[in-house]
Amino acid sequence: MIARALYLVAAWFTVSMVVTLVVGTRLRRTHFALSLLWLGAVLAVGDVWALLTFGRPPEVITLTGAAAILGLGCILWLRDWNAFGQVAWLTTIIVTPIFLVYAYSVIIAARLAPASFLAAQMFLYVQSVAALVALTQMHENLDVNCRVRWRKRIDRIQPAPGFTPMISLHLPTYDEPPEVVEGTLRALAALDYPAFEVLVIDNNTPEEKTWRPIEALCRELGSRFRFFHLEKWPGYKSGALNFALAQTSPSAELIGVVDADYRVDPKFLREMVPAFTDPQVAFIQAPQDYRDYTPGSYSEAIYYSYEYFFEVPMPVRNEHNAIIFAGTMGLIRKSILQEIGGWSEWCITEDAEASLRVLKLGYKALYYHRSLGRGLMPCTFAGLKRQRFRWCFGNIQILRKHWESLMPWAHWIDPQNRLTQAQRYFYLAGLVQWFTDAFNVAFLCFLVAGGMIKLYSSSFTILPTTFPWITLSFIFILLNIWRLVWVIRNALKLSLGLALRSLYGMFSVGWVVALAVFRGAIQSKTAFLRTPKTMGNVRMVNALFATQWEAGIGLLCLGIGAAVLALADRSPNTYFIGGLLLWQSTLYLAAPAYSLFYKACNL
Amino acid sequence: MPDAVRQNSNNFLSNDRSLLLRYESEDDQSYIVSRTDGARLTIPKNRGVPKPFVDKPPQPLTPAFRLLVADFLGLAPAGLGTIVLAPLAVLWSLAVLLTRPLNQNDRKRVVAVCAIAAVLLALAIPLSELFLARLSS
Repeated sequence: MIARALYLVAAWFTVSMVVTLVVGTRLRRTHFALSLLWLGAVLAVGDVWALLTFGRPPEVITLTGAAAILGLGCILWLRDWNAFGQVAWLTTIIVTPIFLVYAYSVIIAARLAPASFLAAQMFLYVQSVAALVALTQMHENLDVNCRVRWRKRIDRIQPAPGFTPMISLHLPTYDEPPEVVEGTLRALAALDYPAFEVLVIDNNTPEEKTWRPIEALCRELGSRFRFFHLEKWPGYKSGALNFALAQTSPSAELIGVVDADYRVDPKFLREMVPAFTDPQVAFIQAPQDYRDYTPGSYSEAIYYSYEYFFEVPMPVRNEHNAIIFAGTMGLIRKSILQEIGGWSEWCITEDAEASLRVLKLGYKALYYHRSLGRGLMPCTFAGLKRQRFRWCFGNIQILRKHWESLMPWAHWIDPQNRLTQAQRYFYLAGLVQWFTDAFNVAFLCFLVAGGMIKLYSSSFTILPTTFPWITLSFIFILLNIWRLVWVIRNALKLSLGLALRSLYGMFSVGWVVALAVFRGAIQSKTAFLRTPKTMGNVRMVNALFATQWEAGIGLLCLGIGAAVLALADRSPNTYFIGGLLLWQSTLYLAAPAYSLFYKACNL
Repeated sequence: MPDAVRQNSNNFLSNDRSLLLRYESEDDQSYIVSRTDGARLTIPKNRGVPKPFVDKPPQPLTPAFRLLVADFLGLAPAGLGTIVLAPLAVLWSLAVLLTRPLNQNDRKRVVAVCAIAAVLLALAIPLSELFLARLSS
């Protein structure tokens, strides 16, 4: 019965997803009757197919009735989504648990040896947790592409004539090339705003010749610019920012953080400051944008993989007052930053951590959907990996520190925690999504083991794969990749080729993200890895050396996958394992390929 | 440099652009730094932030929560880890409840630990039972 139920809900899921991926973004209106009509159509298509294939009208009617009730709930709950998104989400949340129950039922029914049973349980455990994380990504993707009404999206802020609070812009530097900082400071000097100061805090730069020119430039730019050089200063970037907070002009009401490589638009402050006329607004964030990439190159693909965060998760989270403060290109109210006690020096993503503490106090945060400054992407792939490691590790630090305050019962335990359920969900989802690459590594281990078992014709089984399991897993993986391409193409307005290259740009850093997750799970602190802004040594051998692990894993997958397809028995299971191994090899081999050809800046 | 300015704990508010700092030494309360003009400054470590964010000391129920995380991971090997660790988490939290003065929030945490451990145990029991049945057959 579970297998028949799975086939039926998988049919609903496939129909609704395929139609959504093809035309889901074209329907720009929402209507209750239209949603009901589409829900009925999807259920009817699946029902007719199931009745013709299996018969069993009572089972079909029961499942359809339950799905219809749940569907009605989805339509009423997701009123700002179009019909395609509502029904796709419904079928996703039905098919996921039924698939997992089916998989468990298969291993329970199979006469497995204890070791195989244990291995199968572990596989399904990883799959279940990964499925939960995948659900959060699916929700986010449907939200951004199928939402027809953005209630809080801000493309323009109403000017507030006469409202010009004093702003202190903090620019932390550590061993930055003076020519990069010069561009940043000159752009700040050209800001169209009457009341601001710029504090440049150079901490721990070893060479005097590196920071002296910046100090001289600050002197040249006038009294608004103040320069501090600190030696052996603790706390990495947050230590420098806390120092700056203490030195901020007493008259400053807002604090802005600007990274050393950002060229801000002259209108940066003029456009964003009026948001603070609402006293509940604690911070506002504009997208982090990048310059110096070459159209058509690998760096362009990486550029769009950066853009993804500010075009997909941030707009979605903004609808629920759950954005993060991403540091540069953000403004935060000084009094609130002081209220939370400044930047946390234990965390290497201090900006995102601070935003969670701000929202816990019940303040508002806004995402301004307009690029007002552009920085430099890491110059080499090794630099990109370092940056991604830091982001991921910092987020795991936040999860370890704050997980309790993100639980559904958090407000019951601590009434002072004023995070709404939606804010808790989006923060938790955003943090656990970093685990996706770690799950992928776990799946890869199972796949490699499965491939070896196939090759040696061992009696040991990891999972008693059945035809429905293989077929549906294949369909789910295919739809999942299609969905990722769909969301990148539509949210970032890209061609199919560029969307695929951006997607592989994301995959190429999967290994380092997984490493950061594993390190973060066992280690509470790590050094702040500065993102280099110079090319350094870019010889081919160095580029390959930087991705030796990914290359090794990719080649291992390629070898085992090819061997399985060539040598093992001709069963669906063989094609499935061999095919997945070959596909996995492309994800890992993307890293050396990007490392060889990626070049962002020309310093 | 006037003495009044030197003794001001917030010397950095001076408009003198040539003030550059160099670390000299430190004690529990402050950093001693020198300036390019030779002046030595004492800078409080709290650096003027009114309420510095400090790590909370370990909470009484922190070990119970760690056990709970291990319980969740213990579901992976056919629930065997949870079978062992969930009762430990409950016992730990109850022991804390009985032996230490807890505030209202921590009392609620004890309830949360017990409830989550019970849910995880309910999931783990059938899984481990199936595994043990295979082991014994």
